[in-house]
Parts: sequence; structure tokens; C-alpha cells
Amino acid sequence: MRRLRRHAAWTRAAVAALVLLISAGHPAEAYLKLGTNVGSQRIGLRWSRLPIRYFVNEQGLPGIGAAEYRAALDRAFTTWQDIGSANVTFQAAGTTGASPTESDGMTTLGFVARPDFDRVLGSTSFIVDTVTGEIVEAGIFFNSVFPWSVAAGGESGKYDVESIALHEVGHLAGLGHSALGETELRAGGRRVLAAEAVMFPIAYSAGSTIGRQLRADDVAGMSDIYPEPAFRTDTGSISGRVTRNGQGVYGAHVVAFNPATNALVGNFALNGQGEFAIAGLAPGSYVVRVEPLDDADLTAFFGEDAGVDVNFGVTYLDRLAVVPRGGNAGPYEIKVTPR
Amino acid sequence: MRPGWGRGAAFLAVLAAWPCGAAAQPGNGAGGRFEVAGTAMWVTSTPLGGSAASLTPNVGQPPYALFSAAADLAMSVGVDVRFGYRVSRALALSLTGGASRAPVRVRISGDAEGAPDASFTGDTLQQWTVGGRADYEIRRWRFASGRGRPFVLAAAGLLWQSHEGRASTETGQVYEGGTGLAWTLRDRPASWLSRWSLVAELRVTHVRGGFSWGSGARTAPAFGGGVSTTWGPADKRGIIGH
Repeated sequence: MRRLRRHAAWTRAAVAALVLLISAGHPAEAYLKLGTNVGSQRIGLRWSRLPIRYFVNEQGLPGIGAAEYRAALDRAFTTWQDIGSANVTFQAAGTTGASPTESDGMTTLGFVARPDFDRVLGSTSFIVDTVTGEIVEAGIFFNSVFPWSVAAGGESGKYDVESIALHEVGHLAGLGHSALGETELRAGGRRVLAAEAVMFPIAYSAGSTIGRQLRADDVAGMSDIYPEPAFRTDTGSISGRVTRNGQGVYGAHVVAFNPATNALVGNFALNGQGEFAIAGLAPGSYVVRVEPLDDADLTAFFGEDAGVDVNFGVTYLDRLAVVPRGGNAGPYEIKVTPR
Repeated sequence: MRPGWGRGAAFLAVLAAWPCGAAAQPGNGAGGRFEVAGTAMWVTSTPLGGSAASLTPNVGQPPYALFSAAADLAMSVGVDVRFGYRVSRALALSLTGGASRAPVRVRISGDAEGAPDASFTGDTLQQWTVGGRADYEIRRWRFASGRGRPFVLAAAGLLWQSHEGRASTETGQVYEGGTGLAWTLRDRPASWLSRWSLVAELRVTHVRGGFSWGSGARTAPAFGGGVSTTWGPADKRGIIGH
């Protein structure tokens, strides 16, 4: 059985907008989000005009019914839209014959046969206003060279449209990848052992419908981009630095775990000082764990030359991080050692 | 309102209404006196539960825990105060308040990537309780000419727990049952301040809600000692209190 990897969001060269994976140390800008450089600033990508209207291309469906296909996509959008702490909305605008990979002013989802992307189930692309960072158009294609299913309970050996769409719609809204998952290397690529985020870059095996449910990490990330007014006041954050011999560790994966709720939310140390921030946390006590980013290709999270540091062992913050409502726990320094 | 608060609230309501009941017993030498007591209590270590940081496994994969975390509340020392009204020779009803402070110990184990187990004192909880309590003196078991007075107690109250720096506050309910011994130091029934006693208590404390990692209710023994005084209108027949 082949294990497949989703493709990170990409840009269209025509608009010369470099889409980056960004996050700043400020708690209000946590999570790995898609962004673009505007002058000397990085701006997170988001839609300014809501609801986000999308069209569905029903051509080239790989053995699935059109109505069931549209329904699966609608459920994926609705799942994101139903997050209580996020104010993101979507609207089905109808069907179209336009390709999801074309720049035509429409946000389109559809199947495209891309045998050259032999490990890519789906991909999201953007047209971005390079001045404001506003997303003005996006497209999601599903790779029809793979077997697909829209069955309610999934089908053995086929990839679940709703699950993969849920992941891609997260990108469409501006979310980057989460590293909350564990994989094993096998011939042909990585295989997911377990994950706790829809936005983990590697899909569950064919036949699985596990990926239809958002996790705490997904909810926190989407709420961070499109916060309801109460989101900032009802939740809190954890911030700090990951250091080795006093120097910041770039790219360290930091996970906050609330044993009372079993919620896991993660982020990265995203600058040279090793600073991290995890926002959108329910008030309570958290165990904080730091690990090197070693369960997916680094390019799924960062650029090719990002200089992500993976030369350290798993380390825990030596105290509980007690997150206040509407406030921040920390800053803490988590000192890691080379492995 | 959470289930369980109702009982505590009802008990408090009974206590609040009590002065009316006292007025209905004029001249009853067994009642009509107040008691004030202060007690230092040691509560033994209490497990707070634990949980595994679980990831959702892929099809055909076993459950996957990134690590496990468990916590307990280390032995704490606190102070209880009690303001009571003696209903009869044997029974006293009181309003109670308490404060204590206890460190939270955390244990990390079973890291999926082989990190060594770790433990640390992760936080300090400040705790406050307000509630009601009933003390019943077992008069037939008095000894040493009535100076030694065994009693049993039952209490219920509301609990507030504040984490270090008051970053977060959690609430719960506390229920207690126990026994104790009061030893009279001075007994002058004819005076306004009639009795001073030393008190030793052994309680079983049952907590619902509050800071917990999934264990829900938890129970721990507590022991302590203190002083009580009985005061009120003089009674030449003697007032029994502890």
C-alpha cells in the first residue's frame, strides 16, 4: 500500500507572491500560517471578504457520484465553519467547468490527473494581493490518479474525499501544516502511525475516515486567523524560548498538552532566538514538550534553506504552564541538549 | 450549577437559618452558646489523576501515546476556622472556612521518543474552603471526669483553588467526615467565656471538582489539632462543647 503525502500550499509565479510559512513570537500571531512578504514585513494570508465563495468542478470525477462529491466538499467546509471560536464562513457558489489550477477569479475545487505528483493527493494554490496579504482567489485540486471514495464510512483502498478536502480547505483559509503526528519511514515514503491534527501533512491510509474530525490544534489555528471576539479573551497562550547552550533553536516543535482535556496544540520556535508562542489554549495547566521536527520532510513546514535545527533531544518544561483566561503563561526558557 | 453544589448550598441554608431555631429554645441550658475554633490541618498527598497525550492512530495501528503525565498534590498544611452554635449538649453546627497551600508534583513517563522519565514540582495550589459542619459529641464515651470528649463530625463546603500567580482558579466541593477528641483545659460554666479546649481531629476529605487530571473525585485523610473556646450567656448547669 502506498503512503501518500499532501502537497504544501504553493503560489502562482504570475503574481510574484512568495507564500511563506510564518509565525511571529507574539502570542496573537501563533501557529504555522501561510504568509507573504510585504516590504520588510511578513503578513499572514487570510481572506478579507467573507464568506469565501467556492465553485465545484465536477469533471473527471474518478468513479464517484457528483452529488456525493459536492456533499463531501460541503461537509468539509461546514466542519471548519462550525468552529465556534472562529469567524470563517464559506458559501457554495455552484458548479463550473473551470479548472482549479487556472487563475480566473473563481475559487474552484476539482479533480485533475497529475501522475507526475505521485505522492500528492491534493494541493491548494493562491492568488494573493502582495500589498495587503489578502487572499483573492484559491484553487484546490485532488489528484484523480488515485482511487477516491465519498462513501459515508469510507471504502477500503480508497482515499476519503471529505478528509482530504478538510485538510486542503484549512490551507485555503490560510493555515499551514501542523507537526502533531508521528510517522515511520517505509519504502515509498512515510506512513502515519498517529496524528492529532487534520493539518498534519501526511494523510491517513486509504480507507480511513479519521481525518474528517478537527482536533484541538486545528481549531486553535483557524481561530487564530479568524478569531471570534471572545477568542482572545476566553483563551490564553504559552510563550517562551527554546535554547541550546544559550542560543535559540530554530524550528523546534513545541507541544502543549492539557491532561484535563487531553487537548494537544503545537507550534514551532520560529526565529533565531528560538521564540515560540502557542495561542488559543483553554485556561488550565499544561505540560510542555519540545521535540525536533523529524516526522515529515522539513519542506512540508519550512523552506528548503530554513536552517531548521533538529540536533537535540526531547525535552520537557520543568514546571506546569498555567494558562490564564485572556493572558499568557511565560515566557519560559526550555533548555535542550544535543542528542 | 454543578451537581453536588445543591447539597452544600442546602446545608449552608440550614446554618444560616439557625439563629431562629435557637430563639425557639429559650432557657434551654444545653443550647445558646457559641463556639470558635482554630485548627491546623495536615492533608496527606492526594493523587490528582493523569492522562496520556494520545494521538489518533492510523488504521491498523495500536493506540499511540506521545507521553503520559500524572500529578498529585503533595502533603499540605492548612488552617481551618469554625464559628459554631451549640444546639444541644451534644450537637453543634458551624460555619467553617479554611485556607491551605500545596505543591503540585508532576511525573512524566513513557515518552514515545525515549526521553527519560521526569518529575518536577510544577505549581503551587492555594486553596480556600467555605462551608458548614456538624459536630456530635459522644457523651457516653467521655472520660477523665468529662474532660476528654470524643466526637464525630461531618462537613460540606465549596472549594476554590488558585494556581501559582493566580493565573487560573478552579472550583469544586469538599465533603468531610471524621472523628476527634476534645480535651478541656478550662471549664467555667458560670462565666461568659466558659471553656477552653484542645482539639485533635482525624478526617477523611473527599473533593469533587477543582484541579484534577481526569480522576474526578478524590479522597485523602487529614489530621490536625487546634484550640476551641465556648462562650455565651452563663449557664450554671454546664455547657458541653469542644
